[in-house]
Amino acid sequence: MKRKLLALLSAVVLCVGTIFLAVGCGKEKDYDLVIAQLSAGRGETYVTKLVEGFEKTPYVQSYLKEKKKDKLEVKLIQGKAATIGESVRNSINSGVTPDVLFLNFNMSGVEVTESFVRAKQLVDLTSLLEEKVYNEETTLGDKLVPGLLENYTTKPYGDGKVYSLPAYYSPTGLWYDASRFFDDGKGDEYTWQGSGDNAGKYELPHTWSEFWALGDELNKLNNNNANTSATNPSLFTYPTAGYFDGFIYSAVAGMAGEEDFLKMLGYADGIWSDDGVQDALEIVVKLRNYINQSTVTNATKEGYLLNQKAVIGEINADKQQTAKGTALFMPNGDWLPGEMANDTPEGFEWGFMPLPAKDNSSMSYVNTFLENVYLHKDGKHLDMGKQFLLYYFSNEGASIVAKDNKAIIPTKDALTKAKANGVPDSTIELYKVYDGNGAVSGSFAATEQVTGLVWNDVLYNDLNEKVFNKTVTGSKKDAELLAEWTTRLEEASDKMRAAIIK
Amino acid sequence: MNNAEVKVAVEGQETERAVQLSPQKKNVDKARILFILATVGPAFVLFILFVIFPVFSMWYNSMVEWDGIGEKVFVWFDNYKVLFEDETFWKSFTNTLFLIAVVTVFTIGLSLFFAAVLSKGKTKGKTFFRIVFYIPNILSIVVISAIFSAIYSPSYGVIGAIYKLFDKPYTGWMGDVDAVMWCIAVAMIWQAVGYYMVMYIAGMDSVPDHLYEAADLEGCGKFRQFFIITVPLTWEVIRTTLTFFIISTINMSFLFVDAMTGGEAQSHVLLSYMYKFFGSQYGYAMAIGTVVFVFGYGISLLIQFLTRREIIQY
Amino acid sequence: MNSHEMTRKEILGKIGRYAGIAVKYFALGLFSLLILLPLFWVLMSSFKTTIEISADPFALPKKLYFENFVNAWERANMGSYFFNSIFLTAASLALLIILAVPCSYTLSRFKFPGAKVISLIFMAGLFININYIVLPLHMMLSDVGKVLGVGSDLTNNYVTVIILYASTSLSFSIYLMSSYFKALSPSFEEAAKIDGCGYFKTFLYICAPLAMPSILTVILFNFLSFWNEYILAQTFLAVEKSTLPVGLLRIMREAKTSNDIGRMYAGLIIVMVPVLAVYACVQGQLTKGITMGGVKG
Repeated sequence: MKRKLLALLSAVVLCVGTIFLAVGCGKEKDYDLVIAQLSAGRGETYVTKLVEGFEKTPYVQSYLKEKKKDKLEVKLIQGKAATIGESVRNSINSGVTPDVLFLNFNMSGVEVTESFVRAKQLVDLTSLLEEKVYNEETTLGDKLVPGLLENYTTKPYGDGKVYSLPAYYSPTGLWYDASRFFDDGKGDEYTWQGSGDNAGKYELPHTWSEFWALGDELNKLNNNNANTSATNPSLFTYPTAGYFDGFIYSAVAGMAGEEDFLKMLGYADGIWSDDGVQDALEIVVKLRNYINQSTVTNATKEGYLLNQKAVIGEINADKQQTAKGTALFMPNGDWLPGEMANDTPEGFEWGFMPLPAKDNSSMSYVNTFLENVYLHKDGKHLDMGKQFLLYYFSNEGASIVAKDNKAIIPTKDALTKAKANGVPDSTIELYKVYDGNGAVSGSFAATEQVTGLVWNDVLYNDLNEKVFNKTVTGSKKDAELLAEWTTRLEEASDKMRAAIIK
Repeated sequence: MNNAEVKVAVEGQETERAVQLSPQKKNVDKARILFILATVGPAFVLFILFVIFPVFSMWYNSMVEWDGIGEKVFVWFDNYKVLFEDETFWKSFTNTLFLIAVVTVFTIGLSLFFAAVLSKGKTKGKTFFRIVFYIPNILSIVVISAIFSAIYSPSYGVIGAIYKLFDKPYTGWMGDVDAVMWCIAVAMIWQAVGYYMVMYIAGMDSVPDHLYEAADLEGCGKFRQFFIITVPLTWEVIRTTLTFFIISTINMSFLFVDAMTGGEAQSHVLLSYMYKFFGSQYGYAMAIGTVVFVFGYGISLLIQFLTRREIIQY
Repeated sequence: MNSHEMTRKEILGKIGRYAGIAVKYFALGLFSLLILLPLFWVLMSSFKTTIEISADPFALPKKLYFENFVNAWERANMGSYFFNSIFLTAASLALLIILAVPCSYTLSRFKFPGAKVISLIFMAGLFININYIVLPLHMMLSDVGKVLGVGSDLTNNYVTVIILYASTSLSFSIYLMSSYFKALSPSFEEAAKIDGCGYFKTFLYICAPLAMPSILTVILFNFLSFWNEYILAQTFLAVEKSTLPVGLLRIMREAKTSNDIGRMYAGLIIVMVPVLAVYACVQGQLTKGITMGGVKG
C-alpha cells in the first residue's frame, strides 16, 4: 500500500513539480536603466559604449553615490526585427519594462511600437526638447536637424506633442552604377544615352520626363524588356515591393506637394483620387513597362539580392567585374553598399539620387528613413532615461555613435563633425542629397487595429503581384491597374481613418 | 489474435468485474482506484490542459481583438465577418484546396503503384526500394524545404543550372505565382509517398494469394488484377489513410510554405496566413485557426461519407 | 482457333509482360534516384565552397572543404543547438513514456466508469495537430506568465516545451500501444495476482515488458517527430535555446542574404545524420511500426 501511495505521490509531484520548475522562480535584479534596441542594421555594441560614457556624467555619478553603487546596472534587450518585439513584450510581462527603446515603426510586420502608441504608453517628450543636452548650452530642440519632428513618427497623434525622437535618419532614393552616368565614376556627366561607342553610357535623368525618355530609348534597344542585357539594360528594378514605401512618399511629395503628402499620411478622405497623388501613383504603375524581366519573380525574401545584383552586374571570384548590370535604377537605403559588399566588384562606384522632379522648376524629394528612440511610461527609471537621451543627442554621444557605428545621428553638429568623428566619406556624401532638395519622412497616423487589414500590404507590398506581375495582371492596361489600386487604397484608407487614435 | 484468445480476454474482463463487485475485497478496490488514478490521471490532466483546452481557448480568442499589448476587447463575430471578405484568406483557402487535391492524388496514386509492385510481385531488391522510399519521411520538414529551396533557387539551384545548359534565363519558380504551388506540392509528394506506400504494402500483404492465382488462371493481367482485387480489398486501409492524409496535408502544407516561401508570391495556405497575424492581430489569427479546424474536421467527415463502401470479405 | 493467331497473342502477351517489367523497374529506379540524388547532392555541396556551388551546382568538390561544417557548428551555433535537441528529445521521450505507457495499459485493460469517455477524448486528439494549437498555447502560457509576473520564463523554457511535446504526442502513443495491450492474454495478470503482485508490480514487471515492441515503436516515431519538430520550438524558445531544425531554418534564411550557402548544406547534413543513422539501425522496426499504428498525424 505504501508503495502505491508513493507511486501516486510521485506522479502528482511530477506533474506539479514540472509546472513549478517551469515557472522557474528567481526575481530580476534591481536595474538602474533598461534599454531595448533593434540590433539589425545598426551595430550591437554602440549602446554599451554609450552607457560607458553616460556612466561618467555628473548626473549618474551623483546617482551612484546616493545609491552607494559603483556601477550602473543596465539591462539591454537586443534582437533583430523578427524577435525584438517578442523579447520586449516578454520583458514587460515579467515586470521589467524597458525605459529607453530604440525601436522603429513597421519592423517587418512586428508592430510593437504601434501597439505602444495604440495603448498610449509612450512618454510625452515635448518638454524634453526645451532641456539642454549633456554638457552643452543648446537645447535638444535646437540641436536636432530641423524638419524631422513634423511627422506622424514623432507626433503619432497629430496633436503637436512629441512622443518619439529620431535616433537615426538616412536618405532613401534611387541607386545606380555611377560609371554608367559619369566619366570615371565621378567625373563629367555623360550627355547621351546610347549605342555604338557610347553603349552603356547614359545621361542622368533629373525630371520624370527625362526619366521616361531614357526608359523608352532602352525599351527600344531591349525589345521592351524582353531581352535585357548588360549592353541593353532595363530602366528599373526593385528588390521587393516593400522598397516602394520611400518611393511612394517622395513621389507623392514631389507630384502633389507637401501639403497633400501630410494629408495622405493622415488618411484624408479622397486623397488617393487627388490629381497630384494620382500622378505619383501613376508613376509607380507606369514602371511596370520598364522593369527587368526577372524583377518580379526575384522580388521575394529568397531572391531580392538578385534584383540588387542586377544593378551591379556580374563579378568573378577575384572580385573583378565581368559584366555590367541589367538594370539602371533601384530604390534603396543607405545600408545597400554594405549589404552588397561581397557582390560588388573592386572599383565599383555607387551613385545615389533623389527621385526625379516633377519638372525643371520643381524640387526633388528625398524620403528620410527614421529610426526612433522613445521612453515607455511604465519604465521605472524614466529620469535616468531622459538623461540618457540628452546624452545621446550631445556631441559626445554623437561621436560615440559615429566611432562605433559609423553612423550620423540627427543633430546639426553630428553632420558637420562626422568626418572628424571617423564616419566614412561615402556615408557623408549621401547626406549631401538633402542640399537643395526637399525632404519628407513617411509614417502614417497612428490607428487602432483594423482587423484583417495590413495597410502596408495595400500601399506597397501587394504591388509585386497586383501591378507588376504580368501573369496576374494579364492584358490589363496601366489605367485599369491604377484605378484598381486607387480603389483598394481608398477603401483601406476609409477603414484606417475611422480608426485613427484621437 | 485468434478466436480462443479473444474468448479468454472477454472472460478475463468478466472475472475482473466480479472481483470488483465482491464486497470482501474492498482493500483491493482501493488499490485499484489508486492505480487507475495514478496511471491515467497525469496523462489525462496534461492532455486536457495542453491539447483540448487550447482548442477551446482558440475558439474564445477568435472573438476578441488584441494586439498583444493593450486590453483584449470582445467583439463577437467581427473577426469572422472581416475574414470572409478577405481576399488573401480566400486565396490561402484555394491554395490549401489545391494542395489537398494535387498532393493527395499524386501521393496516393504513386504509393499505391509502388506498394502493388513491392508487395506481392516478384521484384528484385524489394527491401532496398522499401528502405529508400521511406527515407524522406524521416527527415525534418525544414531539411526537405531547404533541399527543395536549394534545387529551385535562382542563384545556386539545380533547375537554374539546367536552364543554363539550354541557354535559357531562369528567374526562380518559387517567385512565380503560377509555379509556386506546384513547387511546394512536389516537395510534399516527395516527402509522403514512402510512408503511405509502407501502409499499403501492409494492407496488400494480407490479401490472400489464391485470389491472384485464380485471376492468373483466368488470364487476367496484372494491371486489371490491381483494380479488381487489390484496390477493393485494401479499400478500408485506403479510406483511413485518405482521411488522415487530408488533415496531415493541411498541416504539412503550412510547414512547407512557412519554411520555403513564407507566403510570398501568393503562396499562403490557411495556417501560414494565421501565423502572419500572430504577433499583431491575435484575435484574427485565432479566427483563421478556428476556420481551419472546422474545415479540417468537415472535410474528413465528408471523405469518410463519400468513400463509404461495403467492406468486401474474403 | 487458328494456331497462327495463338502465337501472335502469345508474342503480344510476352512483349506486354516484358514491357510491364521494364516499366516497373524504370519507375522504381527513377523514384529511387529522385530520392537519393538530392541527398547526395546536399552531401556533395556541403564540401564545396560557396563560390564553387554558385559556379556549377553539379560539379564534384575540388577538394573536401570542411570549413562549412566548422562554420555551421561554431559560428551558426549548430553545435550547441545539437545538444539542445538531444536534451529536449530525450527528456520529452522519457516524460512521454512515463505518462503514456501506464495510461495506455490501464485504459485498455481496466473497466471503470469514464474509461470509454477518456479513451474517446484521447482518440479525438489524433485529429488535433500540434500546429493548430501552438499559438493558443503560447497565448495561454504568456497570459499565465503575465499573471505570475514571470513573463517569458514560462514560454521560453525547456520544461514547458518538454511537457508540451509529451502531451501533444499522447494520443498517438496511447492509440498505438493500446492495441498491443488489448491483445495480451489476461492469464499473465491472473498468474501475477496469484503470486501476490499488486497492480503496479504486475504492470511494471509483467505487462510493460511484454509490450516492449510497441513501446519501442512509440519511442522511434516520437524520436523522429521531436527531433524534427520546429514550429513549437521556434515559437517558444529564444534564439540561444533553439533546436537544430530552428537553427537550420535560420541558416537557410540567412543563406539568402549572407551568401554563405556552403554552411547551409553543412547544417543540413548535421541535422540529417543522426536521423539517418537511427533509421539505418531500426528501419525494419519502423516500417513494422507504421502498420501497427496505422495512422500518424
